[in-house]
Amino acid sequence: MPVIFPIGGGKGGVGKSFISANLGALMAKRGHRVILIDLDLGGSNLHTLLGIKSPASGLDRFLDKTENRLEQVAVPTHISNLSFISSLHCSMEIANLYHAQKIKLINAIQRLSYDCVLLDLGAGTHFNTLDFFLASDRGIFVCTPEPTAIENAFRFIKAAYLRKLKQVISHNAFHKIVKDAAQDNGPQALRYNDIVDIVLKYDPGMEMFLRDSIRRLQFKFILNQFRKNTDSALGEKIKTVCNRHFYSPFEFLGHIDYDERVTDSILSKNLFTLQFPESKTATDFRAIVDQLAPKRVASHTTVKVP
Amino acid sequence: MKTFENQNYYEILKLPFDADASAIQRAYREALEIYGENSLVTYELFSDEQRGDLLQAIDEAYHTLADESKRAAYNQMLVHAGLADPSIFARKAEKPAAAAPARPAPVKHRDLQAWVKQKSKEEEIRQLTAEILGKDIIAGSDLKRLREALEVEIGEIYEITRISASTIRSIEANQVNDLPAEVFLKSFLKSLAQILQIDPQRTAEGYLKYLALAKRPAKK
Ligand SMILES: Nc1ncnc2c1ncn2[C@@H]1O[C@H](COP(=O)(O)OP(=O)(O)OP(=O)(O)O)[C@@H](O)[C@H]1O
Ligand SMILES: [Mg+2]
Repeated sequence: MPVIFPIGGGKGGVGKSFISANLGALMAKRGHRVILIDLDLGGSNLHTLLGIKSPASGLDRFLDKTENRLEQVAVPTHISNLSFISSLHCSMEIANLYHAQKIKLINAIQRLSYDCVLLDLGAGTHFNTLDFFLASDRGIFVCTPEPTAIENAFRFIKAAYLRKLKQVISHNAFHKIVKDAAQDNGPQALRYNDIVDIVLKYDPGMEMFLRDSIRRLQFKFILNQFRKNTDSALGEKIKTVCNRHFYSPFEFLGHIDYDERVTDSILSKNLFTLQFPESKTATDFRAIVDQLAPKRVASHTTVKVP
Repeated sequence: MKTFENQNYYEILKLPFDADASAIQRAYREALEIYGENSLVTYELFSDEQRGDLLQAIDEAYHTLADESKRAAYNQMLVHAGLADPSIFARKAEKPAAAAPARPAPVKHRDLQAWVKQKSKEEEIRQLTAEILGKDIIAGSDLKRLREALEVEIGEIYEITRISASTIRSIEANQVNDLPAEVFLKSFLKSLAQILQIDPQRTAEGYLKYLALAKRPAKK
């Protein structure tokens, strides 16, 4: 089973795709067999970052059953050990992905015979995006040090956290009142903190089980487009606060410096970290890869099916 | 989402028991920087209500710890409640510079039991207990009065019974709509009564009678 790193974060344009592509390339350079999957259905652009104009195959051929195995729709990149699955030709947007297709896709992703799988997610908190994020319990969210990006990141975390809570409740033997409350998606829909309260009230025996399940879900995050005037302790502070107020553990992976040359590098179809390995930005990336995939993964951590 | 419920003032401000005045000032400033309305760290993380509660708790913690006499009284309470090791304060009085662990020792069941037992011998408490048990109907406010007279914190009850602080508060405030289902409520009431060392059976019965009454007019 591969180690899956979904990369999300709520706000558009914070650098999710840029980070997915560069992390993938650096992990591959270290000898891991890596596959990047563009799951921004309707907003695909990972191929551009990888310097591929029109991918020869893609996710559409798996979803429409032209190919049976997800591996078969992957294309190689110019970096050895790095494969890629595009969603450029997926006619459906994320909102139109059928439930059965989504489950099939997530199951196939969890069974890919690669060392590392990186999922580039779209912006927003659509429940399909959340389910891709929860395909692994080590999701990474990206934000920039700006109020709107942080606001969207928190909204994304809360939405993922709530969806996870609901999954745990619906898959386990909770009291009917708790199950009904968790099912309610109407205007009275519960906020993430109320479910724990309801469990306390009607199902106190399940409280510890719920807490343990939520504790297994880890959130890792990256602050991208870091500039000189930004508070250098911001990431650590966010981590501390989140660990204090959520039942899930949070880990700050580090900053990635803003570099003006990124746009030119994309235009010239180069991967920034390979083109400018001496830059601060590339050094930042390597420090993050050190934490995520230090060397050839010898034994894999089992990824739980949600 | 977790709040500061069940955290003591030192934990809220992330201070060791032996923190000096300047450390308290610094911790307060840092807490305001993080939880303040315009903080980037928690931007839109909390609802206005949640943020208000957090800031209020931070303020309470600061104003208690920054005031020598209030702090002494609070420390006394922590020690009595078994939330802090008495030796820490004894040592502190002798040599103020002595190091203290960052976190208080976990509550020991027997500490609180012993404390309540001791307190219950006081004339005032004996009268109050007798008064409550003398009533046919027992309200949450009676239990609250007894708890406060015994100087027992909601957090300590949680530590032993694992009944959440919000449930205990709802019981004490007679918030009928926020109470757990009756089966749970009954066992919560009995555990609560055990801690307060007042007849559990009578307490549960009296409270449920109160609830039956409280609910009647609303149903009409
Ligand atoms: N560290 C950086 N330094 C400079 N520019 C950056 C950096 N990170 C990202 N960018 C720029 O920000 C733009 C948006 O990045 P990207 O497309 O990766 O964001 P995204 O989060 O995937 O957006 P979307 O939500 O639309 O998919 C890119 O064009 C890239 O040039
Ligand atoms: Mg993108």
